[in-house]
Amino acid sequence: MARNWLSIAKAEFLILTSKFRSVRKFVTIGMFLFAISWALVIAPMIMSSIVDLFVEEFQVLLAVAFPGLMRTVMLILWIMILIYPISAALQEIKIGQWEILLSNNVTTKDMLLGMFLGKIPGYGLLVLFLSPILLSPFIIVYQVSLIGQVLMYAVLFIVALSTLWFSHVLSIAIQAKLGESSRGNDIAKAFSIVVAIVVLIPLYGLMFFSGPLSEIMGLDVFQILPSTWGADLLSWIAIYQNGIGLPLSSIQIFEEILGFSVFLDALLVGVFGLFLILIGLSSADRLFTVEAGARTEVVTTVGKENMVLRGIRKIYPGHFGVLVVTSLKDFGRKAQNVSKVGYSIFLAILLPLITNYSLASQLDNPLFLSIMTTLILSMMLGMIGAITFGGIGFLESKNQLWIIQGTPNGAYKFILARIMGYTLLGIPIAVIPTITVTLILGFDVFAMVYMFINVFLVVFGAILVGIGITANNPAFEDTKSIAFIVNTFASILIIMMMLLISAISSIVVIMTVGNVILSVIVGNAPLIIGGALIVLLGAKRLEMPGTT
Amino acid sequence: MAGKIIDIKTEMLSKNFGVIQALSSLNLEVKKGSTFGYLGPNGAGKTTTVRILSGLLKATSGRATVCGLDVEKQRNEIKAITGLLPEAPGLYSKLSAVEFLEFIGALNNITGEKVIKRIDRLLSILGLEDRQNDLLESYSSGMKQKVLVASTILHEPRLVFLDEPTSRLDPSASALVKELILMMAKETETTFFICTHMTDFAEDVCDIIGILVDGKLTTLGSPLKIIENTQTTNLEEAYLKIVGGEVDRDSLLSWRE
Repeated sequence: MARNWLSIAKAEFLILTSKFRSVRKFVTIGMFLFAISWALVIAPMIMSSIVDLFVEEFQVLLAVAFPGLMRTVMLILWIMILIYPISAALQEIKIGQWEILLSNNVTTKDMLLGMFLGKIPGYGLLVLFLSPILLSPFIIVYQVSLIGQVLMYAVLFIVALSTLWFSHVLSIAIQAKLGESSRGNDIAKAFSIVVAIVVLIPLYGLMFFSGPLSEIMGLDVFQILPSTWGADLLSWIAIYQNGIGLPLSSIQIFEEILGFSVFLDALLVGVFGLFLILIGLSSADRLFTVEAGARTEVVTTVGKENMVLRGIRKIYPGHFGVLVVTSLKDFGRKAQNVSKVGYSIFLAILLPLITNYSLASQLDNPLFLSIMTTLILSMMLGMIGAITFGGIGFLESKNQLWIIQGTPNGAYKFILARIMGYTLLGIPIAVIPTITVTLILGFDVFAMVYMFINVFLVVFGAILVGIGITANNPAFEDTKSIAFIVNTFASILIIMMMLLISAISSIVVIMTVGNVILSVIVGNAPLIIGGALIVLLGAKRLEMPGTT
Repeated sequence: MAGKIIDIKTEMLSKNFGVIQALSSLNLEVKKGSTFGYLGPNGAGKTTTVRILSGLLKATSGRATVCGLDVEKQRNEIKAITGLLPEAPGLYSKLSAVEFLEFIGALNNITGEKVIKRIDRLLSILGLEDRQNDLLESYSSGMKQKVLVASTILHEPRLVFLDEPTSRLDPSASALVKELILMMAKETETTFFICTHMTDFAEDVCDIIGILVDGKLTTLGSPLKIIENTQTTNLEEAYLKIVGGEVDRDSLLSWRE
């Protein structure tokens, strides 16, 4: 009965290290030794040489801006530690394992603690690698003493651990709520994609409205964030343990900037960590109450087909029309696909806007800005399009593949229908960002049409590349598989290379022939031709009988 | 006439996965309109045989014909006249039963009113008419298996490969599938090649039984003949005697010591 949490932690650790199970001890010890050397020797050396490159004035600036920078750095680290475990856990809901544990003589507190401790080595390494990069510049500039450095790393670890615990509790609550089912998994994956936006948007809002909010609340609004307490405590340690002989008057200035005293910050960090632990442990019973699951709770009944689907059936009354319609239904009904498309459109709109606003003041050339926007939109939507339409959106399982392969020329028909369906989806994906960016940046109609044609052709090419690569090496629904990782990298690499070739050929045509239409055709040909070849190869491979 | 036509013929058919020999020199003949039961322990090579015969997997050596067509050279022709029920369901979670079956129909080049009528009737026979427009993600494993059974026979194949057709079905659904197989074999001369662990199901449904052990076909004959030859009372006992799965009752509680 006692120390069940240790057995669970051990099992979690075995799962974590299963990929190198034959050399588990050697690799784990080796990685930790390297991480410690990295934190204490390598990273400070590298950072020191980087900091030394800058002139003294910059170092003074860094010293003055230290508290503000530390808050930003800690906020980034805090968000990363909070989001990443949730996102990773939601990629694959495995509450079936909970049932095995719950059916044994194990308390829910043991489960919560054991699962958390089992993940610590992995996330601990992440923190060990990241924290020196973040802390070293400040340690170097302030020449913090060894005791100070130890205290700073200790504070960072306490903040990181309490955030990880918070993230762990949240991810368990979400998993339990969704349940292990096809629908639950779909929603979980969708949520794992948008979780970054869910956290980032309020934070951006907070930054934007920090001034008025601070006035209303009568204090610095950032002081309500737990990351700020940790950041300020780190600043205090660096200031009190500095080796640059900071005068008392300067320390007094910092008291005004930071707002809270060192004791209050330490108290807040400690109390908040303790509060999170208590909340988690006290709600363990409720957390592990597995819901019936989305399969039994929600039964979705399909209704009448919409106008677009009916239109496709009219245009293609035979089997091709049915396959295209099925393809669109299968893709469009998955929450993870919708969230991916939404996310990509959001980023596609955001990135050119940010870039153009930052460049607009320096380059007052509308033609250059519209070409630049087209390039950014094409690159963003091209890369995300390939991952969305290839990747895990292509085939759910090997058993599904058997069914398709079991029909005459099934793989060819299936791929052709997918290309057609996804190309139709590519139209709104190209239209929405094009129109939004045009309206916001005030481009003319010609620029908008030019942008749409280019973006759509790139999305089409990316669809071919994504489907082709996945057909050559199906990853099914497993985002943790090597096939998925290889496919993702290959898709991005091919698209980037093709877009580079496209850009060069386009410029050559414009400069030599001076024809915009020809430049669009020639510029987009490499990606489309390359994509078509990859698809052909993939379809042939998928159609062939297996050898394993 | 049907008794003379051979629908499946294999000659020295073998399949290796690296050093593992999954199937070893299989020589087999299955007559048209017959119901062949393929029995054997897990990993004996049953699914491998089905995948080779249905054109999904390449054999390492040997020859095989299905409905007179070469599995090596005429895969598409074989796929057009056969149906395959895979071992595990690979359904589209976000399609309804009707939509999924329409998709399977389209892959087999049958569309329009004809397929819609067939889907309606099949789902009604299988007791799924009330749930036919619900997404498959909300189906139980038994219901999914029924949809798969419907998808296998939707295009009226001449030969049907069934890999564990009743493993996820409750007794009444299992009886329904059993009757469907018997009726199709009798009335439409459809040939069935059934991989199963259910000896009672095989005894009731199959004319001929083949038992595969470690990739080798060790026994072939009618259920009655196999029972007679092994001097047992039913197919389960005969099977256990052949594959060596008899239970040593004395050792069953030894783990408590």
